[in-house]
Amino acid sequence: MSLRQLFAPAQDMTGKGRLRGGDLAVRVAAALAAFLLPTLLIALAGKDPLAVYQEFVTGLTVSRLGDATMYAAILIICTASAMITFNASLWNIGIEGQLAFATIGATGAMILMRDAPSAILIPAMLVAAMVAGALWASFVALLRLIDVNEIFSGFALNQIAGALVKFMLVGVWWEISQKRMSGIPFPDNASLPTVGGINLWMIALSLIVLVGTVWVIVRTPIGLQVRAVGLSRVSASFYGISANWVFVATLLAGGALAGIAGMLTSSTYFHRFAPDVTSGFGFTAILIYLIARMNLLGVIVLSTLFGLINAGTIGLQTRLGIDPSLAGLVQISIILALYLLQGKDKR
Amino acid sequence: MTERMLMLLLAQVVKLATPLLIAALGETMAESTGVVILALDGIIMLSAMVAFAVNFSTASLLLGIVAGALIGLGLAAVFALIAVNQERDQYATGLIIGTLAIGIANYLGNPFIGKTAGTMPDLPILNGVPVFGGFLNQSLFTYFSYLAVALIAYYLYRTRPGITTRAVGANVEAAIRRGLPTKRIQVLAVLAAGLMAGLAGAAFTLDTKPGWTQNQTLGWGWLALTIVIFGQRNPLWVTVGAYLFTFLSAATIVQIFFPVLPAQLTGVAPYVMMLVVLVIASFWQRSRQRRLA
Amino acid sequence: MRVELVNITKRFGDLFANNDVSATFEPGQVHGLLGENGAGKSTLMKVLAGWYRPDGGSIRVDGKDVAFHTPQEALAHGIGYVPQDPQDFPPLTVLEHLVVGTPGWAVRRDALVRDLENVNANLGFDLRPSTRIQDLTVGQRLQLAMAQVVVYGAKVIILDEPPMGSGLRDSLQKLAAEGRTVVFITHNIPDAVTLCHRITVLRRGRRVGAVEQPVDQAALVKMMFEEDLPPAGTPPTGSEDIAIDLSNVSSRTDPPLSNINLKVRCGEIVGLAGIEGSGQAPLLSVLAGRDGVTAGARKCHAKHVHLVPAGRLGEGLVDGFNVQEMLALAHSDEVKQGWRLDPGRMVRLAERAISQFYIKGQPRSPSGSLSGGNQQRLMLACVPFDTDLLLLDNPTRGLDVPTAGFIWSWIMEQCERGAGVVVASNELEELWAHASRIVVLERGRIAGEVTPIGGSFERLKELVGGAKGEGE
Repeated sequence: MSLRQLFAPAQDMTGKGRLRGGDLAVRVAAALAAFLLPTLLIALAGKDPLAVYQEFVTGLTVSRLGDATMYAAILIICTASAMITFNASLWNIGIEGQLAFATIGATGAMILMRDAPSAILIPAMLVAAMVAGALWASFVALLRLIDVNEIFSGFALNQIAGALVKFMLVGVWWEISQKRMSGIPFPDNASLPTVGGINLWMIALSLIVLVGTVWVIVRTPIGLQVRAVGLSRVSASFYGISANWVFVATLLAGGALAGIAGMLTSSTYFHRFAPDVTSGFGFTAILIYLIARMNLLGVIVLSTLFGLINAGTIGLQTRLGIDPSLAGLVQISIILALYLLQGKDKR
Repeated sequence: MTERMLMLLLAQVVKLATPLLIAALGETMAESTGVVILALDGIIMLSAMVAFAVNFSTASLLLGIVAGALIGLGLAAVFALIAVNQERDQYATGLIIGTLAIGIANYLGNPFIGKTAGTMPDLPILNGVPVFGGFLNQSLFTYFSYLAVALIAYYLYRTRPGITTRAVGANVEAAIRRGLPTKRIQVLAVLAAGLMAGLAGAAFTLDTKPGWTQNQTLGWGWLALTIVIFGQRNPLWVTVGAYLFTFLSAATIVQIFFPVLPAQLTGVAPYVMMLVVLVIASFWQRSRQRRLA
Repeated sequence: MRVELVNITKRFGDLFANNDVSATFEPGQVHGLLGENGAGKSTLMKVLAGWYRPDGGSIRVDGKDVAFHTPQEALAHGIGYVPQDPQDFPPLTVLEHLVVGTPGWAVRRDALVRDLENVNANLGFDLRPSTRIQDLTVGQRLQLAMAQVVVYGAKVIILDEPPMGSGLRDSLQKLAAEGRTVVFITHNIPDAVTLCHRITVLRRGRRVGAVEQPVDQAALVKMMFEEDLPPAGTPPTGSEDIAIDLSNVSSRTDPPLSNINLKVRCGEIVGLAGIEGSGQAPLLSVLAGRDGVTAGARKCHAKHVHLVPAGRLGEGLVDGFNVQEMLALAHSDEVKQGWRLDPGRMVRLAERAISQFYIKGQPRSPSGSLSGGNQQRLMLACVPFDTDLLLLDNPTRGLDVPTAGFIWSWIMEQCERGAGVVVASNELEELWAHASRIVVLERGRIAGEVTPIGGSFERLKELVGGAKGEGE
């Protein structure tokens, strides 16, 4: 301690690290307020919050649970993508766009091989989507190499990818979609099959991706190098690790995982290629990562909860005329509440 | 292109650039103290929705503007409380608050989709001015943005508190050594940025693109942040950036350069421009660093 | 103003930075505060200027007891401290820098320009109001810092190791002639002798004595350094093989290196001495290949070069990694099991290092939780085993004698193994005791070289003190 004081002059002056009384109480109160925010907003929109919550719970039928698990699985994979780049200290906002661009790849593979059996078609789509996702992420990586902040390039590339999806649909593939704005439908052999309404394949795939990602980051020499760069580029350089190399590698890997999510989204969750397929998975995943970090259980619980919230609100629209955007609102309120409950950031 | 078409285009560019400029000027204040508000996009969106909703419900443009400004101020206060006072991560706080604001805007904005209400009238103050009168003649928001450029530039470069504000962003350690209340200065700057973002939102839905739809202003906060990077926190350069950016990404201009571009892709012109601007700014930054080294 | 420091004591943990130090500074004079790195000069002046609060003793200004809690309070009482690292705001202009933090709204530009012109005229400065700070020279940045405290009305002006420039002597004389009290902190004997009326010497946190002009430089050398000749050790002689060869190397570092000729042989220890910031760190960086050379040639024959930097957390150690992660990062071949890290081998590697290097900690202790000495030991444990050119920057800084002893014996082992070693250190005694030869740097150049066996320690001290340097 003495040395740190010696090299940090004027510590006498700054009051850093002082514990403030009532800090925890303030945090809990703030978190509670954030948690109650959706209730307030439902009331503000002129609906009865109790009725909404009741309908929400009773509306969770088996088929909706199936939707919820698929939604959760896609979120989990996107969060795994976030884990890779955030551990290298890269704020990869571009997951959303990588996912969107990957749906073009998956759809392209589907169109070329639509009559192939699932055992060939699905892996082909997966590979195409992963390559597309990595390709889109490579733009962020290239720009990062010339010091362009990945947050801004990521956001711009998200918007561009979204427009490209639209362009593919109404331009290049307009005939294939038979001029339907609803999108290009995917045949059944392109979807991962369900068992009793629940898509076990997707659950398994997402858990494998999540556990695998955490394992690589925590338990392999490569992961160790990535974390070293993320914590301190300078320190890592003394052990011969090139930060630029790590940035490129993690962005490509993160893009590939976003690609998996993109393939699942278009082929199995929505069964179609359409402009709205990304549905904010990438953004939500980043928020989940900011809360759960590398905690496996935290990621799974939050993703599942968000899946349930999303599935629960779908029915609200038809029954109570509630806009489905309520789902996102409830999700972000939970994120904010948990964020406020956490203490200082561990970085 | 005839002179009349050019005038119309320029008038359109000035109108479109107004909210962008107002938001970017506010963010310039915040970034002068070293705080980046990634929530800007969300702040603009919620303010825009509320400004329109209040205007629609009360038929009062003034109340709409005030409501938008207050929403901006409130969201900025929440951001400042968490990111500056509690010293939480600026980026994480910004993303969370921003996403929350967008969620609220889209949820509460539903009843107002597709509605029409009064819009800001163009004031013919500058009619007498030759050439420029043709397109500088705009609504109150645009006049406000002209005034804001002058005021903020004057404040940051010609007043003691303004210079002190910039010093905090330049070297926060040295500022603490000088006994400056750095946190208070940062909070005030963030509040100013929030107020401006609120006004930018109001300018959007009451003037530039009247009315409300889902994600009506999505992306404009990010464009404003990019323009601040491009303008290197200098209000005058930020102004140049905002106009140049809007001009180059205006649909008409894009069609001149890429006549065969499909209609679906002209909408992304601002984001392609955003990437170009980021690359230019990064090259400037790097060449400056090389000069210093 | 007459400033008296009476029996000042300032501790950092167990370390006495100032131990019962008294000094008096009279108005109208330039006072030197001379001592080696770590002698406690800056700490003493920071106590006076309100950066630190003393643990004992008192400060009297014009006979009255004062206690400052902040630098602003000290400045308001007329005590202006110009720190070694400029505390300024690079994108701002000179004029704006003077305005920062002042009360009121309007910038009275004319009045400020007049103030600045007065300072320029009185002190021989060449500051222009609208120059941006990043465009100033090093000397002008010092001028700006001095101008600022002068404009704020400082009667006592303390300069902490200022960069020496041609006009500095005049400026200090003029400040003193105006009746101000000037304190000049330095470790350079000739600078102190040419600039100061009176010189107070500190050594290891204590006051050794004070001398007035005319001063005998040899006497100052004796006061500044330890009296006894340190015991010469049995330094390794090295082999004929060259590990690395720098010929006429220049670099664009801070400070820049120029015309460095240095051969390091396998199995020898080359000590790098010199006042702090004379180019030791850049030279190590160039040796390690981290910084390129702008002229000359770097011929590296060693296969595995490793640099142990001066900074511990955030430099040599990843802040956020624990002991076993650090070791696994450095010795990944030892803990790799195919694609994965073997947790058992990680723990065993960590335990082995902990016992070999006497690290007080567990395999899972965060590196940030270790004490400075243990962090340094961990950094040594992280040196790859096949390193054949080992570069160390102040490996014993701030460490107690047993730890320093351990570190040196480890360095000797590496040497015996056949590695070429370069150690930069601010402690001349330890270099004298262990190095095969000592290269003294001065402003990015090699000032001279001394061999402990058969050489003269006096000569080394003179070279480091800047006296009778050969220049080339």
